[in-house]
Amino acid sequence: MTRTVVVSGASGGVGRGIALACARAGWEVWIAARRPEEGEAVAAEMSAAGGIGRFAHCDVTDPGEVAALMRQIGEASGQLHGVVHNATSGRSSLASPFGELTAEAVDDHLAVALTGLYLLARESFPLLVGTQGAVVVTTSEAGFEGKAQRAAYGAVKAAQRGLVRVLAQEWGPAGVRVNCVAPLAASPAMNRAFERDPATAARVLGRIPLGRLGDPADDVGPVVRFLLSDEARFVTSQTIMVDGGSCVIS
Amino acid sequence: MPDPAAGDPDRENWAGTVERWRHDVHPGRHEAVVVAPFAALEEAPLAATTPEQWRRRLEMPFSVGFAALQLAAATCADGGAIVLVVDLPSALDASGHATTVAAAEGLMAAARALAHSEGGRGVRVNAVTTSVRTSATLSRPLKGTPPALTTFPGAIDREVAGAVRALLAPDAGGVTGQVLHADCGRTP
Repeated sequence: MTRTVVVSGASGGVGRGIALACARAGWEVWIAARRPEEGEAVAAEMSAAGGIGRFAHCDVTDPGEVAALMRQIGEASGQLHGVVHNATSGRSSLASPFGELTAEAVDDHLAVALTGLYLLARESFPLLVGTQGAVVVTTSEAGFEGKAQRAAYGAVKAAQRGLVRVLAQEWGPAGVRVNCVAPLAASPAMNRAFERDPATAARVLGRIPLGRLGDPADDVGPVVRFLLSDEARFVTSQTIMVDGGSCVIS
Repeated sequence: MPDPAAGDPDRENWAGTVERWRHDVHPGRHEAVVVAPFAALEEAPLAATTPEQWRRRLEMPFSVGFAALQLAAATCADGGAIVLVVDLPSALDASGHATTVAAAEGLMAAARALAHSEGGRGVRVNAVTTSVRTSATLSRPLKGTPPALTTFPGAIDREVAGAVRALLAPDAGGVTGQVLHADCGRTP
């Protein structure tokens, strides 16, 4: 069955991989991004992959832009089955001692990861009710264990899971499901982190039982696609770890 | 501590307020530090929460709570202990409390990060959750299995304070990065 989904933060990495997995199933995939050149290019990739790729300019931290995004989707597609919130702060891969994080930096993490989720959820809810749709949030294992050098990133990722659990309670009666995935995948951000600190690469890869990072399109994307599909119609309020077994808490 | 209910919601101004507070407060060094940041505690479904309400109920309290943890680390003496206390309703009771839950989960994760950050100098960091204040508007009977203790939700100056004292005590010398739900067994 063809579905219509929107993915934030899909210009590259995990977001693009999720979008690609959905497109390969023939779905209509809206790429919500701030930069038109990148967004249009990814949308074209989705069409080439067998789906229907569409681009919409959207800064997920802006209430007006998120509302406009949902209006555009409603008018152009007439329906929305799924929302994937993958966008994070550009500071996500930056390491910083806990005490050196500024309020401005914390605010930035919060705005993209959490406020972005709130706005996307709030504005998409009427459309999702109509299709008994689903929301998937890309969280992180950083929100489980606590990361001394990425405390703000881990904090907002944990906050996302809390928000998802509440939304699952509030939206369940309307038939709308809300879940998280916590991927550990190769991505530009991961590559930058490894380049900055080779010890990070050894530490991260050394604890993965499956011995590798995940592929965004072939490992992470299909799990998100499952959560967005009817096959997951009785799954809500969950976090699925797609990390090769890395995180020892779930 | 800056008050999210009364502070200037402008992003730059609030960030400045929080930074000034964090750097201007000098409470000295202490062996035990308890952090109990503000929680909005106003009930509303998330879909009905306006961006302005979101700012007051989540963004502003979260940033000051994070700064409070940073201040706690700067205040805590080597070998001391920090306990974060947050309002956190059990999942079954969480409808209408999205901002409270999100802020609590985020700050607990920050406390876990702080546990790693400060462990090298012997500082322990843990969290206690309570649903005393969020349970005030719960309908009865409660959803799901009743709490293990009939004293649910407990009291701040009894069950919650007791859990905090336990985590600050030397007997908890090997406990860090943990969360204690002082809610009479409501949270499994």
